[in-house]
Parts: sequence; structure tokens; C-alpha cells
Amino acid sequence: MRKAILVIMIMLAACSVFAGGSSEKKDGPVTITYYGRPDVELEREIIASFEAENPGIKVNYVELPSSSNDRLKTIQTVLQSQGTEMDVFAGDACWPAIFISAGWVEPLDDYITPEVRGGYIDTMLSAYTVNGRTYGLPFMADVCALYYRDDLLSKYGLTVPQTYDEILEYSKIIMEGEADPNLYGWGYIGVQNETLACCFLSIYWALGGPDMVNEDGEFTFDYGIAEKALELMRSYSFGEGISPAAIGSFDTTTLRNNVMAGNIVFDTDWLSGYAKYNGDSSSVKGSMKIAALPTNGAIGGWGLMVSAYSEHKEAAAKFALYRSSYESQMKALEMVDQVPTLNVFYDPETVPAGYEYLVDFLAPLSVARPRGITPFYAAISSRIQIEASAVICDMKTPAEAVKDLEAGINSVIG
Amino acid sequence: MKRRKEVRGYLLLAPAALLICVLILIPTIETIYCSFFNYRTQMAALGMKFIGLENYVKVFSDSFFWDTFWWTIVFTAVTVALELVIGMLLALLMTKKIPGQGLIRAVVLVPWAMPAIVAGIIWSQIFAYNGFINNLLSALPFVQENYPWLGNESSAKVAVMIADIWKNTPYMSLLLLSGLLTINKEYYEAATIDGAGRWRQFWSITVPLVRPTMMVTILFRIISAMRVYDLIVAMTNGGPGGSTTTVSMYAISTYFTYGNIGYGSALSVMLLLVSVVISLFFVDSLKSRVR
Amino acid sequence: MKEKITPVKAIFIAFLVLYLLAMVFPLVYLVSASFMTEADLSAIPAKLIPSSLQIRNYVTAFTRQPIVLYVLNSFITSFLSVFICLIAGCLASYSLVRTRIKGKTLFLLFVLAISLLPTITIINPIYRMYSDAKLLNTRIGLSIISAVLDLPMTIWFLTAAFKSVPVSFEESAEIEGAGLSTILVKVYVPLLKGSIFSIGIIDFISAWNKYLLSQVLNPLEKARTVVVGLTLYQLEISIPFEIVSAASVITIIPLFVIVLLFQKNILGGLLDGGIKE
Repeated sequence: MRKAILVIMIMLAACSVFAGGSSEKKDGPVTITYYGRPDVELEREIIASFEAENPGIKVNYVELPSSSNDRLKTIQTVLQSQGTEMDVFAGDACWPAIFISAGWVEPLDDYITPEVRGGYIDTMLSAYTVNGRTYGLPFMADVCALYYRDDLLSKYGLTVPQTYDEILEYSKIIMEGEADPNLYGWGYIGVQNETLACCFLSIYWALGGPDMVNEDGEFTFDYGIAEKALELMRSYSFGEGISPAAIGSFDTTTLRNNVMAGNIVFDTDWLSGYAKYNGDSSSVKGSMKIAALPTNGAIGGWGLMVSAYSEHKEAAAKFALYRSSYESQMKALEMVDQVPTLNVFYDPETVPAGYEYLVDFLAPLSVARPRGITPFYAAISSRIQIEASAVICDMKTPAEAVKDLEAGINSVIG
Repeated sequence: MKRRKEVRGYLLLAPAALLICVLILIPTIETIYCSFFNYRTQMAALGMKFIGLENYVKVFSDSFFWDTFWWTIVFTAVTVALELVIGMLLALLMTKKIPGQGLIRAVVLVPWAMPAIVAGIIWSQIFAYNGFINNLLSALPFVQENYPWLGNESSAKVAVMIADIWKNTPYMSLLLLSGLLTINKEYYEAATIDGAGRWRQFWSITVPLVRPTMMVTILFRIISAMRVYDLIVAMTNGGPGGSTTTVSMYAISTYFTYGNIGYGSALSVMLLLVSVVISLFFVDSLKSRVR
Repeated sequence: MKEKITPVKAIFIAFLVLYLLAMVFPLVYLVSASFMTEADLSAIPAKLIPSSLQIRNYVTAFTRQPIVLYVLNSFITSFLSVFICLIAGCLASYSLVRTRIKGKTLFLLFVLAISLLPTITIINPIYRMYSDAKLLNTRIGLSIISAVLDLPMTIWFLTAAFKSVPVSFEESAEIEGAGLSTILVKVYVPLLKGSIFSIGIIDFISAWNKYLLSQVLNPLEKARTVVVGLTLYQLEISIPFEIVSAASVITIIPLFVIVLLFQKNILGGLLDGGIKE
């Protein structure tokens, strides 16, 4: 018996030697850990040039998972345990309120000069600003925008629609004119996910819906307007027929493939759609143009935040500044087409050569609106996703959906 | 001697018991503890507030919880039942000497070896609006339009169950196979001499003898089916309209995405209680195993 | 012995062939997609055959992420996990089946009950524990927790297997003066080889596929497992399915080989004709 246990212990010990010990802390230069986007080559290059400029700081890079929920889980687990193993991280534009109210992120106002602040597109910085304090530095911009078939609009002598009514009207004109059974007027990502909530919010705002939370922190979401927005989405699919009746099963890939096959006139999508729609495998290459959504589009993108539990906040802030600087953003644009957040990239005078299309992005970016600066945003959004999906999949009427939405949101924030 | 044997028994049990206590029991107790508190990440500064059974009261009046609950039960019942039948057939096949047997065994196991996320992506492509199922159907003369398989409540549910059956049947059949392998072949030889047919042999020899393994297999499949997460998240993300959201998906998003640790813990504990109730049905057949 | 083909048998065979075809289709699609270009994958209607056999996706899969390292990490973690699981599981099962200790049923029910909670909800305490014990970002750390999570199942199945061995076998070995370790290694292991391998494969795959756990506990590249690595090919909201497929195929091949090798052992158990008394 004793022999057996001894054997096991030896084997286990051997295993642990084989598997390698844990990481150790070293003295000397400050080492900060950065949880960033999984663009490995790009991030490594930026880190290398940062380290060259700041010999006292070493940066340890950890790639975050690609799915937004998994990222949130990873980061939350570290922060909830008040771990010091993460100093600075890349956060989704809809998260800051969660971290700020939990006291997990450090305000960065002391580290940024007014010039730096003024360099950002206002709307991009607004996603990381709560009560006048800035908690994050955006390094990658994104927004829900309206894409349109320029060739079809000019064929019928139409201009870019400014309201959802105009989208409906123009779609009908074009669909009737083309008489192609595969052609639809308006598409969006209809599967139950965050983008659906963003699409819903743009319609809700266009119909006059107020922010989720006002400046005094009161919940001001308007259920009446929400019902109208759902009514609109439903009627566009079923009554008017300008959206496919199957829109509720359209994920990003399906939507984009249909746009690229020339089956959709207008569509609501993120900025990353631009390169696909105008890429080589697209049959509408060169004629898919971008404009601002009616009224406002939801803010997306990423920013850098510094953990409140970091032991090297100054070094972390320094890195955050560097990662969102012109130099880094230029590199990111060149290497992986990351959309920059600084005004200088969008000015026709100063736009980098070869990236002139960025000028067209300024219109949607300048009407970008934070989805909801409330610590309960994630929960509210997932209720919106469920109810919007139920409406466009013909499972509930808008009235029923709004009733369930109100009950759901109340149970979340109550 | 007897005393020494008893001590030896405990010693042998110790490694497993210790590992389980430290790494599962303590965290589980913490989860149960949290379920009695109003504890949210949004109010981490305010700390935890004891609210007794309030979270559980809320669970009972939470209509979305009941939606996810019944769906979880249906999902579990349907998938486990079908996986059992198909798994048994496959296991029987795997005991037969047929050409290419090794390859068949290995291929059969691949779906299960595949990460659930990848499996979910593949199946969502197959059921997509422009996917293969619609391609096949569009060849039929009476099919006019592509069908939104994942955009309709009942077809999305069926699609998710098909994907789960595809993925988990190998697990079932491998475990059943391990049970079939302990059956002494002489029983069958004797039965054949007695003139019992295949069907008779299956019901009077195979089933009773494989029953202990089968019951445990079913039980563990039920437990893991009730906790299904990755596969459905990758396929439908719980949609359309929340109809494919399972209890564990709801608990996990409440806990992590909504940051409501107290309520999320209560939802997990509910799942635990349901699993305990289900496993009680199996206790009788399980008791025999240590006697 | 020649057998006649009865209608029941014909249905049985037809069903199996159909099922096997349905089962293989997604795999064929995965392999096929791994050779497709982006244009092939965005075609409407969807293509099943790639327009040309190009290996660019495989090159991308190897260069964009250190996938070989991830596969290695997964292998080491899963092997260690199976090892811990089988050792602890065999000892516990032997103890539960063959020794006279009290509270056996209670212990079995206990390990069953605590395995019922979704893993994810206990991840916070585990993370804190691992952080204190400096086990984050280590392969041994991940393998211990994944072994423990599979331990209840392993114990349950191994007790069934141990029970199937007649006591007389052990008694005769004992009379010959064999100690416990000899009995375990010389009597039980050879007899239960098939079952132990089956459970081992199950534990292996289960450890291999632990996604959330490994993502949260081992975020650093040096200890990252391949399941987590697979998700890192996605950079924006749409999934680059052609590259993920290539990476998945790369990951599945070694697993496939393992199963091919191990299934001979299961077969070995079978050919022995079960356990004779």
C-alpha cells in the first residue's frame, strides 16, 4: 500500500516538473500585463516599439478571446478577484459603465493633456466618459452605419435616405423597378445578438427615443417608442416586405453574403462591412457606399482601460496612451485595417494616402451615440435582443414584446 | 486484519475525496452562500447584502426562468433518449467484426472530440438561410423560398437538438460499449444453443447485464445535457426570441454578463436541485453498485 | 457462421448507413471548407466543393497563431488530467467496491451531487485559489481541475467495472501473497483494460474540450490550450470560417490518431471475450 502511494506521489511530482512551474516575478524593470485584441502581429509590433521608447517598462501581452461575452468573462474574473495580474486591457465600447460603477477601472484624466483629448473624435471618447471623467482611451473606432447601393440609387434618381420612412419608400421604388424576386430593400443582422440590439436602438433613437439613463442616473428608456420601433421592424419584414421575412435568421455571414451577391439595397452594418462589400469577392464592389444611419448609429469599437488593482498604474497609463497614439493607430491601419479614432485621419487634408475612403466614415462616426451608459447595459441589451428577435421572427406582437421587455428590464435593474 | 483493511479503504479513497472537496465542494458552498445575498458587480463597493430567500422567491416568479427551465427539460429528454437508442445501435455495431472496424470507431468518435464551439459553427452554417439544408430543399419543385431554420422557434429547437445528438451520441456509445465489453460471451453461446433469437438475447442478456452501465451513462448524459452551453451559444446564442436559452445559459449570463452574482448563483442552485431530483430516480439502480 | 438477412436486419443496416452518412457530412464539410477561399464561402448558394485545392488557409492557421504549441499544451494537459483521473479513480473505485468502509453509497451520491453544478459558476473561487497557489497559466493547474471535474463520472463508471471482476480472482492472488499494488496492477488492470481505456478516452476528450475553464485560468500563450486558440482566429464580428476550419482540422487529426491507436486496446478487451470465472 505504502509503495503504491509513494509511486503515485513520485509520478505526480514528475508531472509537475514536466508541466513546468508557475511564472515568477522578477525585479528590475516594471512589467505590465496587457490584455489586448488578438491581432497578434500588430500588438507585438506596437509593444516592441513602446518598449524601445520606454526602456524601464516591459509589456506582457495576453490575447483576449474574440467573442464579446467571453472577453467580458475573462476580464471580469480577474477584476472580481481583484487580481493584480492584469494592468491594462482593451475593452468593448459598451462596457465602461459596468467597470466604472464596480470601481474596477482607474480614471485617466491625470494622464491626458487637453491636446490629446482634443485629438479624438468626440463621439468615440464619449463612450468612455462618465460624469465628466474619462476612464478609457479609444484606439479603434466603430459604429453602426447605413450602406447603400449607389448604382441603384442613381439609376432611380434617388438620394441617400435620411429617415427610415425614406428607406421604406426608396426600397419600394427600387424593388418594383428591378422586379427581381431575390432583391430586398433593407437588411440587417437579425439573429439574437448584440448587433440586433444596436440596430433596434438606432431605430428607437430615430423615432425620438431618449437615452436609457439621464444625467441624474434615472432610467429614462421610453417603452412607448420602443414599441413603435419594434412595430417598424416587424412591418418592414411582414407587411411592406422590404426586409426578408427570414431576417431573424440572418447572421453576419448571411447578411454580408447576400449584400455581396447584390441582393440587398440598404443595410445596417458595422464599419468592418465596408472592406468586405468592396472587396474582390463582392459583386457590388465599388458601388456599396456608406452613410450615417438616420439620426444616430450605436457606438462600437475598443478602448484601453487601466485596472484599479494594477500595481503599476502609471506605466499602464503610459502604455494606454501609446497604444492609442497616432503612430500606433497608423500602424494598425496599415497592418490590419483598424479604423482609427483620431480626427486627423478623417480630414481630407491630412488623411493618409491610400486610405481616402476613411473620409466617408466621418459622417457615421460623428453621429455615433453610446448605447446606454448604465452599469446594467449588458442585461438590458440582452432583453432587447430577445424581444426584438421574437418580434422579427413572428413569435410575439410588438405590444406583447414590449410588455415582456418592461418586465424583464425591471427584474434586471430592480 | 479487518481493521487494517478498513483503514486501507479510507486511504485509497482519500486522494479522490480530497481533490473533490478542495476544488469542487468549497467553491460549490460559496455559490450556495452567494445565492442568499444581493450581490452585484455593479455595486461591488456596497458589498453583499443578506436577503435570505429573496433570490429564490424571484426565481419562482421569473417567467423567463420557467421558459428556459421547460426548454432545458425537453431538450434533455429528447436528446438523451435519442442518443441512447442510436448510441446503443452504434455500440452493438462496434462490437461486430466488420471490415474497416477500426476506422469506423475512430470516425464515429470525431464529432464528440470536436470542440463544441466548432461543432456549433458548422451546424449553424448547415442550417443557415443560404446553407446546405436549404440548398437541398430548393431542388424540390414545391419549395419556393429558403426556410429560416434558425429563425423559427420550433425549427431552431430541432436544429439545436440535432447538433447535440450528432455531437454526443459517440460519448453514449463509447460508454455503452465499455459496458458491453464486460459481458461474458459464454452467455450468448449458451443462449444460442438454447435456441434464443437475437432479439431475445438482446432483451434477456444484453440489456440486464449492461443496465448498470447504461443507467450511469444516462444519468451523466442527463447532467451534462442539462448544462449545455457552448454548442447552443455558438449556434443560436439562445435565439430566436430567447427560445433556445437553457437554464445554464441564463444562469451564466446573469452571473457574468449581467453581473448579478447573487441571482445567478440562485439560478445555478436551482439547476443543482433539479439535477438532484432527477438523480434520485436513479438511486435505486445505483445502490446495487456498492453492495 | 453465415447469417440470413432478415427485414429487421435490413432496416438496422439501412439506418446505420444513413446515420453514418449524416454523421460524416459535417466533417466532410469542415474539411472541404478548410480548402475554400473567402469567395467560395460567401457564394450563394453555398458551395460544398472548393473551387481549387489551395492550402493557404493551413498556412495562415499555422502562422497567425502558434497552433503547434497550443496542441502540445492541450496534449500535456489532457494526458496529465487522464493520468490523475484514472489513478485517483481506480483507487477510489477499488476502495468502494472491495473494502469494508462505511458510507460508500453516501460518498457516491456526494460526488454525484456536487458534479451537478455548472462549472462556470464555481470558476470565481477556483480562480482565486489558483491565483494564491500560483497555479494560473500552468498546465498542471489546468489538468488538476479538469481531472477533478471528471472524477465523479470516472469513479461511477470504474466502480461498475471493478464490480464486474469476481472476488475470487483477488482472493486467489492474495493467497499467493500478492500485495495491493500487485493485485491492482496484475489482476484488475489487465481484466479491465477495455473499460479503463474507454473511460480514459472520455476523460481525455473532456479535458481537451474544456473551453471556458482553460480560457479563464490559462490566458497566457505559453499555457493556452488549442480550444481557446481556435477562437483567436476571429478578429471581427464575422467568423473566418475557412481559417477556423483549417485550424480545426489540424487539431482533430492528432485526436483522430489517438483514438485510432486506443481503439485497438478496447478491441483487445473485446477479443478476450469478457471476463470468465
